[in-house]
Amino acid sequence: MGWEMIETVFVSGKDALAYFYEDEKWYSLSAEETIPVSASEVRRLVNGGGEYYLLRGLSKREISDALVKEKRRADALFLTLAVLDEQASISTRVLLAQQADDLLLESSNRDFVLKRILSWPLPTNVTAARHSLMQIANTFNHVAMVLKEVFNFQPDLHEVIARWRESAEEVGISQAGLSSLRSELVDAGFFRAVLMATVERNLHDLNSIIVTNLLGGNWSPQERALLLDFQRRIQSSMKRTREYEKPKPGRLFKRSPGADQNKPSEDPFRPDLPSNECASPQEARLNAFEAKQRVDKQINCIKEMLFRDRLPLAEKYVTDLMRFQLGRDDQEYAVMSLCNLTASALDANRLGFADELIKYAMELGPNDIVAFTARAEVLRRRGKFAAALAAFEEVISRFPARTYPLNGKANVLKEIGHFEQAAQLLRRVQSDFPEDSVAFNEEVGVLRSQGRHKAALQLAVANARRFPLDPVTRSVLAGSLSRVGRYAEASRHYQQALALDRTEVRFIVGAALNTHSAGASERALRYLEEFLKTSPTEVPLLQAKAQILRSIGQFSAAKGIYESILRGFPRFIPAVLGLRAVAVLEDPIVAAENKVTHDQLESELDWTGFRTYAVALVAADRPREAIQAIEAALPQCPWLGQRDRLKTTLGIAQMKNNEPTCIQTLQTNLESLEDRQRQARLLFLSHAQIEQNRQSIARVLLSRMVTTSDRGIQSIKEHLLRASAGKNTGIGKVDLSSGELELALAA
Amino acid sequence: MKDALDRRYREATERAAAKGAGAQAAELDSAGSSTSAVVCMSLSRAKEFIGNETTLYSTYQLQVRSSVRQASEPADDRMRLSVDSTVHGTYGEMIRYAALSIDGLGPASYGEVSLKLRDIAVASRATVLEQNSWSFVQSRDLFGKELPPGYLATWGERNKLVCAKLADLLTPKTSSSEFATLILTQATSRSEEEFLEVHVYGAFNMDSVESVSGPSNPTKQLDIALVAWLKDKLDALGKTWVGK
Repeated sequence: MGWEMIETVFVSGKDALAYFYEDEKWYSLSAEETIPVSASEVRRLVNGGGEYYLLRGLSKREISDALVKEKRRADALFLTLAVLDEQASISTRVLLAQQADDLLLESSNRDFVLKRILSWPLPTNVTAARHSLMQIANTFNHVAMVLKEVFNFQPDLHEVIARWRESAEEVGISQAGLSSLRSELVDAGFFRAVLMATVERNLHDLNSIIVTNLLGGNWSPQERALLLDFQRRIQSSMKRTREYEKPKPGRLFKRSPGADQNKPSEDPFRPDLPSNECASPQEARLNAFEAKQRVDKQINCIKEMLFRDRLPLAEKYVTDLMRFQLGRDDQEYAVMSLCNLTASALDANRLGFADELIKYAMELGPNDIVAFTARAEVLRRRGKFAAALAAFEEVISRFPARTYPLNGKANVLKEIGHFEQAAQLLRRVQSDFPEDSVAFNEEVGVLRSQGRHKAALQLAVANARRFPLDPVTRSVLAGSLSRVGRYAEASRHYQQALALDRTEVRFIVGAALNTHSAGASERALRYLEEFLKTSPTEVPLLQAKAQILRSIGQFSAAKGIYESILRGFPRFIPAVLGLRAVAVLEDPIVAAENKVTHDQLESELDWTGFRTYAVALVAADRPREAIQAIEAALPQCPWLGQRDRLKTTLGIAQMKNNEPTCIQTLQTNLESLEDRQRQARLLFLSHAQIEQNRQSIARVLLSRMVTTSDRGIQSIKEHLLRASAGKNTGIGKVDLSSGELELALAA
Repeated sequence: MKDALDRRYREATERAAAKGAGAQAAELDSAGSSTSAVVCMSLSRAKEFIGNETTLYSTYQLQVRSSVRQASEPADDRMRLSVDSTVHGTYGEMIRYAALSIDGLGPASYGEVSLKLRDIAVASRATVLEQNSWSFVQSRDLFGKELPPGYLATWGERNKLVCAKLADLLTPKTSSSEFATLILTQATSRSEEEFLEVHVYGAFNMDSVESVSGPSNPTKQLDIALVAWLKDKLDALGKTWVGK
């Protein structure tokens, strides 16, 4: 009696079987037959990983239909995954893709497949093979559509799952509980929905997904806590990411004659030209040298526009450049141009724009290691460490004999505090590429990040012996010496680095700042002046000069330099931040009005800007607001170094707000800070002790631990020593001297 | 138990010899020693099991109950549990069921793909029952009772059980090519299939598999793709695919 409703039905597309209970007996239904089965067999199979769904109240016809539907979905999933299987031969993959394509024609099947595949990141070996896979898939429209989405969203998926793991760790849910919860959420398409909301930066959708799932499931309190924590983490990472707003079609595109004017391009930079079409016959006739000159000019122009904050023009010029290079079939050079521009966009802190540029470069150069490494670097600079790690691993898997991605991966591991792993990886690179100094110098950086400055110095010395003619290694040694206060020796090594490479402006800046730290600010300024005579517009030199001037209280002179830089490059963020710092020192009340919220911070520079704002609040006598802002921001800050700096600022704000907890805050992680930061912290800690009437402790700290010869710090130290001796210095009202404020901005 | 099996074995081979089939009984004895444990599954299941090297062939009770949270506990489930406990006592849930086979093919009603297990993977943890345990217990009404002695053999003595069960069917004309069918009789329905059941204690994965048999010329397009993929996977795993 086909119309009778059957109350309990288990259906599995994976097993291509349904079990139903009728007249106190169990039956198994397959495409071929219906046979009675024992209840234990049902239980075995239903609990056996076949992914059975419990359905209720179906007629036999409906069970049959449900089985067919489930089987098609499961087959579509399996076939799509099998296409990705590197162990399958090309001919097998073609067979699989052909079958998958038929099934993926149905949008519900596509949806099911995407729900599943976009619930966990693909293994690196699969993403690394994406281009050869897509070559197969491109013959089959629906497979190509699904795989393109899967591959494109991998970096975001890595981030979503990284947040999920953090939440699971935070809540402390058991492995079995987590597995069960995940399984249910995958079935519900939860992760894909969260991923989509994240990609689209749609907070409303995200919240509604979480609420729907919270209401829809019978969750334990721990599971609910996990979901809510996950929501919070995704929310904050969404707010942090500033996507590049793609231009509206027609606004920036110069379309070629004959191009479909109504068809919006998917890519803002891609000219709608056939690949071998030149923009004009004249362009086609340019010889290689002329073409290079033109490209160089265009690139410089785009860079200028990026730094002048004229993004629409930069976009237009990129489009023109691509039209020119692709029109000449210079695809390889087009990739190089895009990589070059990506670096500039990063320098201009245009992270979303950089991301778009490099994604396009990857598309044009699917086998270009520089493009893929640069993409990973863009992700790192955006603080998307899980995605960056996966991207570096992908490059390593594709280009195992190259050092850049290995060093890049170590850098990300360092950023997320996995110091041992980073060091191990670098040692592996050192062993495989003993002639390449980069990994050796990077390991010094890892030790510094751990606060192991003496060990870092020892290694830097060993490296300098190993690579005696490498100027970068020499400058790393100089930096290590400077960090432990051995300024005279550092100075000698900076000079040796400069003797090895007179063009490297970083060495000049390093030498000048080292001299300044040694207490010889005037000499440092004179030193910079010497170089500025021949290179008056060299921005890093101007920046360094302004920084020194700022720290010795010559705010107007510093301001003048920052303004002159910004006149040429309004988007040069270090100068923007420098100017803000001067504003904090000169007029904190006004500076504190330029509110910076932690929601939209990605790069390290962004976080420096936020910290400057927090110091402005303290200086403007609004410490409570500073505390609130920092406390809300700290958990969201992915940069470990910036977190330490924020803690220093938090301690200062708490001190200003007369909170005894400031002492605890300022002591946090003190030993692992680099020398200048530690010295600054010790000063603030001493000041806090004085405010708590612990003068003797403050004196011990100041006299025994604040040992640097940095003139700015020495001046503050003397001021605080007088205060600890009871002399009238204004201390007690928690006034911060301008020297202290400058130190708070810099440290 | 061992004495009883020895007695059944001896008596069966003597009866075979008495009717002139002694040589056949000796051949069957030898063939019984070279039998393998075979598990069968559908093509769908096989792709899951073979495709994922970490998948364990486990008793379903023990696998993570992740798919259905509201799995019911039907009343007549007690029957099967009784069979398990009659044969295996408290460790019934640890047992994986397989069939004894000479040619690597298992009972087709359980699925068109047969996985032949490596001898070394089962030798120290398998016993063999004369018949499918469900039929064995039910036909003899053994619920809650002890198993009759002589019907269960260790893996090393499975040849004796094979002879004890099948020697009476031998005639002087029986050829060794018929042994495969005698040991495992295929049928269109599960109830008519006849085989010796292997009970393997504990889980196993693809590492325990020696070879896989499956359809050599599937007709459906989807199955053609699946079989091609299975062959590639097995090749990558260093296992043999045997088309049937």
